[in-house]
Amino acid sequence: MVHALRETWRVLRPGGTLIDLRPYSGLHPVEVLVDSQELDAGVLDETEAIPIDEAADRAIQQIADEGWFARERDAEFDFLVYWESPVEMAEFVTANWQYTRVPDGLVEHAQNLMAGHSDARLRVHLYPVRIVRYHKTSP
Amino acid sequence: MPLVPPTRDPEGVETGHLHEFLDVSDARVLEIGCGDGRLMRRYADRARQTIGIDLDPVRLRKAASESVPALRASAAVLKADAVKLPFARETFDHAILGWSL
Repeated sequence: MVHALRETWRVLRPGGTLIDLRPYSGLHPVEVLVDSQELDAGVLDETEAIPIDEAADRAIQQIADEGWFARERDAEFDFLVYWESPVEMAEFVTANWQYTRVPDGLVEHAQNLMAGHSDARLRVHLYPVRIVRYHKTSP
Repeated sequence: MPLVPPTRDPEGVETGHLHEFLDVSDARVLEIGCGDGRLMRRYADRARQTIGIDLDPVRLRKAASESVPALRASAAVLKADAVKLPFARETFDHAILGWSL
């Protein structure tokens, strides 16, 4: 990661901007949306990837400490992801979100909450997603 | 059965934050880890030039077929490694690590 950040520094003009935008791992709440209600359906477990986030944080902190980039500002926000069905969610997450586990029973619980509501949807909160702005400096 | 992709951030919260943090107007932008171009679609129409790189050829093909054509001719994607960027020094005004660090 440190090498990639130094390469990024090389191709940026003096004073250029670096944006680090990424979700942080953890337990991501899953909700069923039905009849204007938000029903708790459980969590997706992405705690396995927390060490990866921590390594990324250390890399960019090291680069900043060495004077390659200066941190300007940051913010956190909630990133929402929607599916039409629990099964579709589980299949997609299993195939695409490498470090995310769908706990036993979550799909069945969500299906029960959605039963009889054809317009019900499933919503996953990815929180926090963090955006940080840096500018290129000279070490 | 093909996987059904989710709807991501229809509220545009991420896009709003990105534009608040970064003015890409008339800028040369490098997106590292552009994947299928999901994020690129949300800002590249304002930039002078946008290049997205990624190592995943499947996702790059999707970006090239779906995202890049929807943007101005100044957007492109290519397979490249972030630790050895195929660009000259000081080529870009902005770099975005989009869900990739």
